[in-house]
Amino acid sequence: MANFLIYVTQPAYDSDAALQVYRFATAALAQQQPVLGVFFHQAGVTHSNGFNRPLADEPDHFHYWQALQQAGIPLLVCATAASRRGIRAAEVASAEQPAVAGNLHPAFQLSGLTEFAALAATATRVVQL
Amino acid sequence: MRVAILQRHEPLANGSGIEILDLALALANLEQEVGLFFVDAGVLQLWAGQTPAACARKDHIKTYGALGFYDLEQVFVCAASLAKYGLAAADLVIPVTALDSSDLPQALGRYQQVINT
Repeated sequence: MANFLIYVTQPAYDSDAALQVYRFATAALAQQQPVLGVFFHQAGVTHSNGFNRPLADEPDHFHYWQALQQAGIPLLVCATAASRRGIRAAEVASAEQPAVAGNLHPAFQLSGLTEFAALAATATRVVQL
Repeated sequence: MRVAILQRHEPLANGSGIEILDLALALANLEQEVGLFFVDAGVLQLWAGQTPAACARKDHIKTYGALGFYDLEQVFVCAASLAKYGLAAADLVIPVTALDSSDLPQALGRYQQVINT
């Protein structure tokens, strides 16, 4: 039985990654092959931007990401790479800064490369899309 | 887990320069065996003559010098790519093993995972 870790570096909209990951992950789950998580790094973090909004007659990729998250696959976003590209979680106000509304889509969670490395160490295969 | 990281891009093409280096260090920090491969324009990532400050970028090139602390010593460059860009191994910031194109597949084949840029 193979454990998969999916590593996404291609951007939202400007690549085919969303659909490819969805197809691969659902096929793996259908064959009882666990998907440990989907880790978003480099330009791939842009899939988690809650402000992404297609036109009314265009497919909404969040439908695919939410389906994976609801199937129990964590969607992990490198916080550093995300911050560089304008994606942040909500932050409460502090002495140093006002509250930040945040735009991380709720299906995703912030993470770090250490978690990627830990998952990669246990995965049978890292699949990069 | 033996992981090869294949860097193909020149330094300012995208964010992969610093981000893939961070990935290599994160893997090495968890004691995974990491091999770095620089091919095509990727060899320029190691060029000692870079001036990132002049390009409004952080200088992460010196971080390559810290690879040894993480026991990350398997650093390979494509000899043909070096020649293409008029570089010698001495022009790079760290010691590397230059491979002929014919030796690259075998060197890569030692690793269980390959991460691409």
